[in-house]
Formats: sequence, C-alpha cells, structure tokens
Amino acid sequence: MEPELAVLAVLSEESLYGYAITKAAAARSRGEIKLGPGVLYPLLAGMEKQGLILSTWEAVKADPDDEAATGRRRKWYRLSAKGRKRLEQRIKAHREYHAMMEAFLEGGSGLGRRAEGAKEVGS
Amino acid sequence: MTVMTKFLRGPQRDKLAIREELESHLEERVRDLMVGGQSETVAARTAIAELGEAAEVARRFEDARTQPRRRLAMNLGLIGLAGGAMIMSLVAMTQPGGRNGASVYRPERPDAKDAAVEGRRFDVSFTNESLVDAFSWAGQSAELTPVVSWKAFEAWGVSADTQVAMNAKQVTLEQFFTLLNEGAAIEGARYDYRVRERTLEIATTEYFDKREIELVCYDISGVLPVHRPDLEAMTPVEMKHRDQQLTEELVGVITSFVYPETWRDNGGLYGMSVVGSKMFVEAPRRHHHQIRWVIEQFLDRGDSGAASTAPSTEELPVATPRDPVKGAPAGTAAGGRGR
Repeated sequence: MEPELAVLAVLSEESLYGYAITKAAAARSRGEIKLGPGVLYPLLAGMEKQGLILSTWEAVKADPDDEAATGRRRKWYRLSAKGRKRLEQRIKAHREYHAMMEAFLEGGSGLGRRAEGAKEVGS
Repeated sequence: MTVMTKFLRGPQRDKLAIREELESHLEERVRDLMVGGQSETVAARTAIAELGEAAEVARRFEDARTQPRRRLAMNLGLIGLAGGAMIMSLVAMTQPGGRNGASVYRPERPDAKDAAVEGRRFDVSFTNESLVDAFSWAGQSAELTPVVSWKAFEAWGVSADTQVAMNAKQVTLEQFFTLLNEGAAIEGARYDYRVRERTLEIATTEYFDKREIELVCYDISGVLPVHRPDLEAMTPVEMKHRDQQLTEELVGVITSFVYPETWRDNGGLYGMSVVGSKMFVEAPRRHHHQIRWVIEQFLDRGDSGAASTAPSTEELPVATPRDPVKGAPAGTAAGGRGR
C-alpha cells in the first residue's frame, strides 16, 4: 500500500505523532503496512510542505511525576482540509482501479477488445 | 544521527527538528523492542537498521524540502493543458498512430535475462552456508562467474558471512533468488541479479533500478477530453477542470499502484512531470511496463472513438505469477477474448 495513503488514512481518525502513525498503520493492517522511519519522516515533511497535514510540537516530560523535568518534544500531525480531500480522491481512485480490475478479470470490460487490437498491430 | 544531520540541507532549525523527531522515534522503538524481549544493544541495532542508510534518508528529506519546485513544473504543465486545446489537437493530428506510444531515452541498456541460463536447473542444500558460498554455488551451477555488489547489501546488515539456509531441488536461477528473498526475512530486502556476458551480477533490486533508469515521454493527449467526441460540447472552463482532473487521476493511479513506495512523493527516488499533453517519467524499466498499461486503461474509458484507443506498438509485459497487474494485458492479448 502506498505510504501516503496509509498516513492520510490513519490521520483522518485522530492526530498522531510519527511513531504512533507507524503503530496505527501496522495495527490497522494487521502488521502488513510497515512504515519505516526512513520513509515515514521524509514523507511527513513532504506532506506538510504540500499542506496535506499540519503539525504542532508538544513537550514530553522525561519524568511524569516531576514538574520540573524537561524531556523531548513530540511533533503531532493532523489532517488538513486539503489532506482530507486528497484522501477522498485517493480512495476513489483506488476503488475505481479495483472495480476496473474486477471487471477485467471477469472478462467483462473493454480491455479484451483493446488487447486484441494491440496484438493485431504488434503482429 | 550526527552523520545524518551532516547530510541534511536547509536551515539549521529544520535540521535540528528532524533530528529531534528521529531520535524520539528511535527511543520509543528501542523501548518497544526491549519490551518485546530484545536486549538494549540488539534493539538499538534493529531500530537504527530500520531507519536505513543516513545519506539515503537525508536525500529523501531533501526531496521533500524541494518538492514545491517540481509541483510548480507540473502545475505549469496543467496550465499548459488548459490553454492548449488547439495545440493538443495539432499533436493528435500529427501523431495519429502514436497517442500512447512512448519515445524512450535510455542512458544505459540493461541486458535481458538470458533464456539459456534461465533454463538451467540445479539443486540447493544449504543448512548454514555463508551467503558468499551460496552465490558461488548458484553461479557455478549456472556456469556463470558471480560478481556481488556487497555494498548494496550493507543497509540490510547483510555481508558475505551472513548465514543462509535453503533446500530445494532443480531450481532455476530465478527460483533460487525467489527462495533467497523469501527466506531473508529482512524488511524491504530484495536480492536481484542480472546475467551479462557469462557474469552473474548480484545486488539489490534498488541497485539495478538505479542503473536502469529510463526517461520516457508519454503522449497522454488521448486521455484528455478534447479528443473525446462525446465531450466536445464542454466549455473551455469545464474542459480545463476535466483536463486537470484526468491528469491528476492518471498521476494518482500511477503513484498508487506502480511500485508506490518508489515515487518521490512517497519517499522514493523516481518522479514524473506533466507538461502540456506530455508526461515525462523518470523511473526504472520495470516501472514503464506497468505505466504503459495504466495509460492504456485511461484511454479506454468507454469511448467508442477508435482513434483514442490506438494500441501501443511497444511490446507488452510478460505475465508472471508475482506480478499480476503487469501481466494482465499481455495474457489477455494472447489468449483472452476470442473474436
């Protein structure tokens, strides 16, 4: 599955930070979708640049019980309106493609005729 | 991580933000792996291996950082589409048979797999053989001299000493590599090979992809409604929207289904730009076979005009069980619907 589609899909439900996106995508696909960090973070950077997602930083305490303890920051991502639109387009394209493949495999599309044409010209 | 930061370009603030985010990811990943039973050392090694090669990841960030420029090129192309109905008609008229043909620029011509070599079969029985010995055995059995690009495997943590277990009778070279990939259990790992002048070159699919990049210009004028008799009643504005939608759909389908992870927008290496009625795609040869097929599906949108469904004269891909999409048109062409 395309990584961008996976990210759009998991972020359509809730705001998440990078590692949580990886885990959500894996959980949602029963472990089939593995978004490695080397792909995920450049992808998120690109999607943010395109305005598909928005981000905010949140401080994470090193020690939850210690008010003064400062820890890392975490970057949370959420879907923008543009991202939501992109997701809808991708889902539509995905479904159309599969419908086309189904029709093709059942032999009911115009593809057979097209392919015959290809054979005639190629022969 | 320090090495990675050195490779990164752009403002220092952005570099530090990327580093902070990746470090945070690695920390959490290590913690999860340790909860899963790994020692801290092994967990750290696994997490870093999952991140991949520093230079490669930095390059992906750089692509993400500079991508608006590429998008601008594509948008300019779309504007060209909207304003260029007349020009497109002209292209269509001057290229009657070549609407979905492709002119190909090949920086390097890869050799096809050798049929005689592919037909040769041999037994493999490795329990704890080193990878270098396994490759030597495969090369010897196929009467080829193996040349291995070990550097290509470094990102997977694979070396000549990596242990291999495999047991099979009468396998072809292709089956040998399929078994090797199935048994490797390394995420994203894909051993691949080429046969060239009695030499068996062994590396990764990505390695050969980079070597076999082709810049192909696809004529997609047949995809656009200006050529559709049933849509001639459209206003210029409607036509512009329809042009944009169709082009976006085409690009969307290609980046969604043709080796999705390899496209720049998805963190990969390869890209495309639409300029007027031309779509330029820079990608490995294996991609182009599928892209041709996808474009053909767009041309066949229920319109009865024979002109827009002119078939490609290029050879269609051969069906393989591992690649049903690629094989679909060829299989149908050969033995599908009878006349």
